[in-house]
Amino acid sequence: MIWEPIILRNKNIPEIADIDVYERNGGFTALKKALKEMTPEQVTDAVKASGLKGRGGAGFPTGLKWSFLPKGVFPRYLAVNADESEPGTFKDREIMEKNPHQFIEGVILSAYAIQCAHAFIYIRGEYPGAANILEQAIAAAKQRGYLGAQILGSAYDLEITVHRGAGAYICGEETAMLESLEGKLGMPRVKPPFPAVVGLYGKPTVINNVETLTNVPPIIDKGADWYKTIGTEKSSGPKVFCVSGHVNRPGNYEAPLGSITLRDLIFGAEYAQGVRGEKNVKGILTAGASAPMLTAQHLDTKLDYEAVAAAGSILGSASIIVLDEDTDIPWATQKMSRFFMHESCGKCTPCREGTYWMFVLMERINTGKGTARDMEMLPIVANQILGRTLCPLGEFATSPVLGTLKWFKHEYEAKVSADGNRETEK
Amino acid sequence: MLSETAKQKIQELKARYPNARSAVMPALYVAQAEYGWLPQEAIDAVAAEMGMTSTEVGSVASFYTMYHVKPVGAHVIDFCTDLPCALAGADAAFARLRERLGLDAHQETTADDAITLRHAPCLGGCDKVPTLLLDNQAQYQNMTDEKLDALVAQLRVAHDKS
Ligand SMILES: Cc1cc2nc3c(=O)[nH]c(=O)nc-3n(C[C@H](O)[C@H](O)[C@H](O)COP(=O)(O)O)c2cc1C
Ligand code: SF4
Repeated sequence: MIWEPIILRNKNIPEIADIDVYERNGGFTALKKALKEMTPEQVTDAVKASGLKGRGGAGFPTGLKWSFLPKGVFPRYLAVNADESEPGTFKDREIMEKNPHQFIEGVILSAYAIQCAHAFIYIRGEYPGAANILEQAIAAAKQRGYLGAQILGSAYDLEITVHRGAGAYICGEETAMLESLEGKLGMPRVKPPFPAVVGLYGKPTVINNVETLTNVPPIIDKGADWYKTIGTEKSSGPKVFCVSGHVNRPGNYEAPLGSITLRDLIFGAEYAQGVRGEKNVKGILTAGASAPMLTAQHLDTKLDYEAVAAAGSILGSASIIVLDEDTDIPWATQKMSRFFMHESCGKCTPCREGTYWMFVLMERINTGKGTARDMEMLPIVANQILGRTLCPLGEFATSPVLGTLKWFKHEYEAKVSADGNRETEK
Repeated sequence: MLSETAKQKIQELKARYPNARSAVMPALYVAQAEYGWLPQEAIDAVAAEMGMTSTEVGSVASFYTMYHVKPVGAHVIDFCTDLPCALAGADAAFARLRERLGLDAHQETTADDAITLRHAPCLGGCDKVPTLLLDNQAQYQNMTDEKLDALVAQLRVAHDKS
């Protein structure tokens, strides 16, 4: 059951960050093929036929997204989302640091498909190492004629600009990212209009995640039919799973979607190799802090978008955080509530106030000052956020509280009291 | 005063974008590198180079946590205490480091202005915990207590020399 990675190729070819090594291992053949033999529409069609879905969280079909651009309107922009700030997510980082040329080739191919002459990579400010590697990879690609004017002797020109963020999770939301790129505060825009029609600088824009675009070179190189044999019918292709928390071997692991279960990923010898100290699993987060927690009873859930949804959570960016049997769940929830309180951009009152209140209630409960009433208030506050916010962050922020109350209410009950006076116990 | 090199750098940055205003974030990094933080004078200087108002530039600077709109120490440690790091004991490591640095309850910067220590949201180093970001420039991973002490000692030596 050993899967030979096609995204994290660095696992098998450690030197692939060297452009010569990448070229010797088939690098840039997809780009040569596309520019010599394929029209932009054919590249889009191949990506559509492959069934590739966005790896940034929402899982939207990539080729379909590209085809929403209004015909004949130029310039168009490609904005690559390398903001990767969801707690427990570090896959794009490994791709950019260890297999940067495949990612850059994917950017060039995708920009060609949508006929864009200037692409931007918005990388979170906390990734200075990866940003430097990308700058070098871009310079190397330019030197070899893969970027710049008249790429590989064709009529196609492309520039790529790396734009460093400066510490704001909300800039991962696609319209906030565009605002930030335009030199404004990173606050989400009202949709519609959608970025495909009115995006960066008011022009048609495609936004895609780093991992999504790293899938494009193999799709073009080997074809959509080949790609569709990987994964399931509804979730095609490979996925990088980030595993962190109480496991023996945290890291990124690649496998075809739907080919392994949470149990395989957490306990498998080729994956995270079990829970530290041979303990049992208590909680499992599958999309970082943003989706409801699952438990040990969900270990046999297959890792694809549909199966994780059926289990009551979201695969999202596939940031799997494992909590062992000794984890204090309300404490872990408070950590996540603090994150969302800090990261709410403040544009919508329900999100700004609600994330603050959820954190205050969690803090009270965890310090022994909470009452049963405080515990009951948590879902009430959460429900006042749901459906009343501009962007999905508000909804994400309710997941830690609602998800843990569903399975671990007894842990909350053990911390609260009638008069809010349990200070001596913790 | 921004140096001529910094001013020139900002003009170059403006040319990299279809709309010059996009360069305000990189321009703030340029100014911060010169001043160590972003006093009003730096904001005004960036505004002048960018052709924006000081209020516009100031609000961008305050929105993002990596711009220091208040004075900081010579070195800034952003230490991740979010869930994946916390599961590996980052809270205790953070508290210990604070103590080592002699920081009081609400103090973030050491008395000699050498080091600022702050909580950071998840830094994406969750497979090599605990993780920190130093001076917005480099991540340090697998930070055991020994490695933290060594890093602090090294920063202090560097600060005392300068
Ligand atoms: C609060 C918030 C944070 C997000 N953060 C990221 C991120 O860090 N990286 C990312 O690729 N997508 C992120 N997304 C999803 C993007 O809005 C967008 O759907 C995605 O970049 C599209 O690319 P894809 O179709 O290739 O997945 C975030 C969404 C929200 C609401
Ligand atoms: S939901 Fe929260 S993060 Fe999103 S726009 Fe509203 S206030 Fe900002």
